[in-house]
Amino acid sequence: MNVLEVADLGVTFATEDGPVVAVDRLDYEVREGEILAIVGESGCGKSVGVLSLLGLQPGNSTVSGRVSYRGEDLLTVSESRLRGLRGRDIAYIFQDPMTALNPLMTVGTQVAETLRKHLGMSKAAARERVVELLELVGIPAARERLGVYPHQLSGGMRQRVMIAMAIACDPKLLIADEPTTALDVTVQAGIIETLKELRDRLGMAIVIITHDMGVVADIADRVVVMYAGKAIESAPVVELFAHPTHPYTRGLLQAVPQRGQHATAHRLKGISGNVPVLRSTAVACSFADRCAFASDACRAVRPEPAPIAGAGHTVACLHPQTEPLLLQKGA
Amino acid sequence: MAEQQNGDAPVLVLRDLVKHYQVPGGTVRSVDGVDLVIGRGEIVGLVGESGSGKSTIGKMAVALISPSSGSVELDGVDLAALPKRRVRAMRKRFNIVFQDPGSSINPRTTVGDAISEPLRIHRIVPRRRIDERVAELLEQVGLRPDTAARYPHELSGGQRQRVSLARALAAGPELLVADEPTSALDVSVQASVLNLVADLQQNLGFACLFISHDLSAIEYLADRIAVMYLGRIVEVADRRDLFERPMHPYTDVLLQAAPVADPVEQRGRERVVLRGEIPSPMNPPSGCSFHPRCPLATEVCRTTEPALRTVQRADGRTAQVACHLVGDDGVRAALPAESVPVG
Repeated sequence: MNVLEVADLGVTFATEDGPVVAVDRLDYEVREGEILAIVGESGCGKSVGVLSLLGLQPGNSTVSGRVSYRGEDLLTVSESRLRGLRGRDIAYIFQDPMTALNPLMTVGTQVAETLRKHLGMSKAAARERVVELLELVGIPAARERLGVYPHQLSGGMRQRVMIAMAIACDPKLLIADEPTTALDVTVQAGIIETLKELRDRLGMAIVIITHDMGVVADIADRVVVMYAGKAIESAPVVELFAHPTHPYTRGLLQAVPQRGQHATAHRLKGISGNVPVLRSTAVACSFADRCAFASDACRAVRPEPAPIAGAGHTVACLHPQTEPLLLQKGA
Repeated sequence: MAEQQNGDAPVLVLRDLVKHYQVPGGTVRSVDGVDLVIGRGEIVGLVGESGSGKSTIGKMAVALISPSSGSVELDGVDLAALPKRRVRAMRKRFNIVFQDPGSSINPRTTVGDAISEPLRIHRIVPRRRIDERVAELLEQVGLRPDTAARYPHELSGGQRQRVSLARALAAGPELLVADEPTSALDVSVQASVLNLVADLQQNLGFACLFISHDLSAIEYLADRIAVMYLGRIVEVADRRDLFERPMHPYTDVLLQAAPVADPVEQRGRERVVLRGEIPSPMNPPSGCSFHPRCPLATEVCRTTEPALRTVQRADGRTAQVACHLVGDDGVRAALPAESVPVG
């Protein structure tokens, strides 16, 4: 059962230089209780793609397509219905909790506000529930922290407060946009463990947006790789890393040094060139100009996502690469 | 080319280096007694989490800030004790690149002007040869010579970082400090900048202090690696030894915390998740500053600060570590296998 189905999603910005297509006919679905990673580099449309699900995209953009949340099309429902869904059914956490938390309000009051607004809890009941939530997300001495302000907490603790707020109303879907990117690696490890535990205990689905293939390998059940606003490859996580097939996915994996590789014996493969700026929906492969395998056909036809061997694996490429990717160790 | 001054004497020696900042409410011990040596043509990686003091060390190494105490010796000359005028004259011998090249290149000058400035100031080449030299430097960092006429905002982040490398290397320094030079770049671009730093170092032979929080970038480039925690160096080792047999418990948990891009391997790893978070450098813990988070801490760790000392491993290689629990052979008890709950 899918909790979310995104079909033909388009987001176009009106800029001084003309329209810019940020999300270009994007399709994906999120199953109940699943952790889906959306991975891609800056400017690939991964953030605006999830903001537009609940009408949170910037004002100079237009959104098209279908976003079905448990059968309800979110792109056609009223603003008041969206307000009711936001935070209650679908909750967000962002990279920088400082911009999302109110600096003038104590941690306890902020988390309680969500409970009182969406669930109509009394002040006393909300307060008790806040303590439970803070404990659930791994904040030590939760009761004593109710009265502190966000600036008194470390970055990792602030992100935990954000997670507590996000799960306060027991959402069916949690969208986490680069939740650990601003954090140190030892703190990141703790936040990832917490997200996994929450999924296991509460059964919510999680969409995590990241550029870090290590984070993907750690947390995801399934992966969607985005490039220039499109899903160019998607597969269960083990399948994707075992058989990366799109030249861009393979490039991303090869660009990062592996354990044991040293510059004296190994050359990293970057991806030359830049992400194109799309003025209208693409009619050819957007990666062709940076791709070593591109043919005339790639510049004439837009490749559509198609299933390939390997359960649940789809790729949008005319020249899918099936050679094993040798990420040799100890080179 | 790097000037060969006195054979294999180190390029840079940091001795008991300290930087304290006075702030309302106390003293921030940003760098708290650091000793580090960088040999000629050597790449030393400096890794640590935010607030560990690694960038402050980088800035002191190139005399952008002065230490509270201790010395920064370049070819045996203590920069901290020199008058400003003499430091300026030495600037052609060391340079630094930062995470955000936008902040170190003037947005109103062309790329050519930015690169030629050090050539003019230090009179590296005759005036009539400056354009030619700029073109050579641009080619060396993989940019076309006509990039000289462009402005920084016309370039991508990766291209700007290439320009800042060309500028930093224009005067032929013996030492390059690279402070998170790839951290603001996308991974596909990071790869080409890492390759470029490796190539430039091979061809020009400068010594490099490569500062990063990214363990994979550090492992790829460095010959030796120093690990910082709360203003101190806790371990220095050959890069293979550090990754294969980390000595300090902090190095161990840092390596375990960084996820590997392989779901089967990553999910099969045992890892210790650290308790709590890095304490404030205003109020570092007693004894070993890592002891409140260390799964192995004992009484001596709470009371006595461990010195950075040299150990010799079974294979004969030496390394340095600041931990009471590591023997003189570089060996210590394994971390407990079960993960320590956060909090």
